[in-house]
Amino acid sequence: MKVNDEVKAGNTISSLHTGFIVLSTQVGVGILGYQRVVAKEAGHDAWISVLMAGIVTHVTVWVILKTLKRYPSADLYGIHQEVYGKHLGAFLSLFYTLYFFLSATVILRGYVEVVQTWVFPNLATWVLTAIILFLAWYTILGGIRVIAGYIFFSVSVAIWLIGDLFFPLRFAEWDYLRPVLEANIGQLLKGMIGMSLSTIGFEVLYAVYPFVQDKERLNRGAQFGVLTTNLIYLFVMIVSLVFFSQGQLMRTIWPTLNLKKMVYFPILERFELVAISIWMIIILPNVIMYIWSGVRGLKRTFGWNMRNILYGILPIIFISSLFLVTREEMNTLNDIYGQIGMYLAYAYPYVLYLLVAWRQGTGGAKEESADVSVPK
Amino acid sequence: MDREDNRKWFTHTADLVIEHVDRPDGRVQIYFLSSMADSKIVYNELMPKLRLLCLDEAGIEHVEKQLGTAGGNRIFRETDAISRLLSGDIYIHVEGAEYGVTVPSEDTVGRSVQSAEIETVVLGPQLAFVEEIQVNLCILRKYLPSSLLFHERLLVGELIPTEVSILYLDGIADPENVNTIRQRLQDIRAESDMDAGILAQYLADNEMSIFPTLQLTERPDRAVQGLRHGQIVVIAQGSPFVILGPTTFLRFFQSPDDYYLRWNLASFNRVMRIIAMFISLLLTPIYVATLTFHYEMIPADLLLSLAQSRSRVPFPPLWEAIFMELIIELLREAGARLPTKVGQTIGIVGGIVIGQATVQAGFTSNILIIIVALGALSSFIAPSYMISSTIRVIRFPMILLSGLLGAVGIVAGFSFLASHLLRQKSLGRPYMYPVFPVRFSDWKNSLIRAPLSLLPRRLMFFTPKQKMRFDPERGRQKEDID
Repeated sequence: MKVNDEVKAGNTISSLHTGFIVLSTQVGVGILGYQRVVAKEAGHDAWISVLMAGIVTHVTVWVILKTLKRYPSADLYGIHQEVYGKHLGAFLSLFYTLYFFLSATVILRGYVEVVQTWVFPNLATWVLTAIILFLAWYTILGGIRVIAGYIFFSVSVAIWLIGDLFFPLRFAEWDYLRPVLEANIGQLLKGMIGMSLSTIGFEVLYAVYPFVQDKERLNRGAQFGVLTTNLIYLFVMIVSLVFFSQGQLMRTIWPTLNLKKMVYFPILERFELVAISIWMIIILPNVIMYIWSGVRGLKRTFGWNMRNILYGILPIIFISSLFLVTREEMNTLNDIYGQIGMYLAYAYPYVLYLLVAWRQGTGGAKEESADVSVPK
Repeated sequence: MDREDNRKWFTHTADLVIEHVDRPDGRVQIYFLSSMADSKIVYNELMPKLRLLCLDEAGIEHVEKQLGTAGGNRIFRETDAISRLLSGDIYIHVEGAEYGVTVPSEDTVGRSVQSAEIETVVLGPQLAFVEEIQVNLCILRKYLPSSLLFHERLLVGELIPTEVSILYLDGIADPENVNTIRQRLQDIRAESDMDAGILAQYLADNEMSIFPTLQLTERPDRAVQGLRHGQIVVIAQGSPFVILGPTTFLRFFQSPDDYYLRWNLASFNRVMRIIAMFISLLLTPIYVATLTFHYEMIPADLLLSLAQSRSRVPFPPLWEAIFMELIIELLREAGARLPTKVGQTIGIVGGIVIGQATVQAGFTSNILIIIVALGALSSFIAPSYMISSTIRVIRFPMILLSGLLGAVGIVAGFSFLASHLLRQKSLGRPYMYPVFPVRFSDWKNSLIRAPLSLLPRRLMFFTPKQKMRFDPERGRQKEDID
């Protein structure tokens, strides 16, 4: 396997679309219920935790791009190969790939759970899972450009949902936010860690990078995506904090959906039912990007055909999502997944950057001249 | 064809006329198909001229001289003579000569140029293409009297090929697109009649999709507008529709009279057509979804009138809706097949009798009738017949999905449509352009129609060689106020 992946000229996406990819992979099922997790630790100062998590995300994305920019057109799997050697590199790539597939499964199952709780209590899990996986499969078959197009469509349809938060703002109690900074730094940090399950998603940059056309402007695009995510999370968090009292917030699993209940139009009530349905368009980019990144990893590491991998992996995701039945199981899985995600998305990029820097500083000159050239 | 076949042809063609110039030796013969050629030319012009020839000098050179035909009409082989006869020419043979000569004389059968009936506009030219390729070429040349209009002629198909013409503006159309079209036309290995509709399916990038990826139009002005933007026109003999490609999804929602009307009216119309598409696709599914699963979404007052309207209906909303939509489709198909005069009665029968009676019989609710009628009306707003039939058919799976999974089903169907459209290509170019890949500068000439002075560019989609239609500075010039 080559460290750098040459991508066909007609198969690239722009840096702005990469920003959309980051945004839509970060925002998913987590935004429906992250408020309780963060507020449990940081209380009414939870918005500061969100802010802090946002800044950490910006820095992490910067480090990821810094790592990738040391290669002209490499992805995570190529870098693994170079840094760890063939076997260990393949093992780590496989591990990361499994993490991607786990993410897809958790998000998929999380959404199905929301639909089952709010809209169709009697709907069999497999029906919706199969539909979503089919849609993901169909989009992935179109290649990265169709995926980018779908994500653009998803963002432009779903971004308007943020507007419904102005309805609950009419009942806002701004006093709920005071006194500011009551929580100590430890609590804020714990809240920040609680955010990680919701803000991960930017690590798909590791897989997308070879496909970006204007790599020198990628930092701007990606940071724009992260910034939009952070603003959305901050806004939703502040609205939740001023709308719910702390006691209410602790008892609510999906505060964002409860906020949407406040929307009222003369011809439409119970807006959250519409929102949950449209949420499928927000979930799909997550599922698509995670599956695509994982499948890309398997292709790059083992040289398999992507179509064939899809036929193998989609049934596995389908069946494993059927095994998660109860709310407790979902919670346990979310906690484990949040932990893994925090290490792989937030901690690992720094380690990898140091390794790459060390490797390129001391590694054999012959290898470097062949593979590692500074992008122009 | 070998000689044997040719002999067979001569004896097995009943409308072949062999006329001898009544000279004593009878060596000069005139061949023509009485069904194709104009026999007046033979008897009133050719024969008197040939009779004047000197008795003993009647060689082929003298015949040529007498008729004033150029050397280009010489025919050396029998097979060529047959093909010229079949296209309506007159063939003159002199015994013992090396070659024969042909005289063009086509007695064309076909309707004369008429006004457009499928794609009508209120303001603008009313002309439409006809079945005869020469007439269509003549119309296009009248619109674009320019040496830039390039014309390539191809024979497409096996065994009995069809004459097909490719037209484009040199220096404006992308040569890559021209190559793609030419290549695909040459690659067609099929024995079938090459009507434009069939040809468009052979040329299409994805034959399986329900969406048309090449435009068919009967309007010369639409074809000319396309040519001027860098599209390529394909005309097939025998078809009154020409193919325009490459094209985009949004082009199907544009009408030539968007440019004849003032920009604000035209923009309003364009936006309305897009909204109409969504109404047509989503209104009935939303009705089915809300009444089957999400009635708690409807405010109490509205729910009351809805419930009253539906109180006598014994079917679930899904069956009710499919039943009504089927009636509309039956009416449409019946109206399209029947002669115009009978068609009007169908409208009355459908509109008044069935509509009124189904409600009174308790088969459907009044509100559903409104919704279905609105959806049907909206689907007919699309200026292209191709896209409006597509939209009408897509409605059925959407209704089915909404009846099975409610709003989630509608979103899933919609999501699938988005993916599907994004995957389509027209001659290798993205179908959803300029929505995706995003090019905001083309939005003002596709989603809306900005004032003409603000549209100096050709649409970038067709990757024209000359990007500008005029200098944008000139569009911005304004006289100072005094």
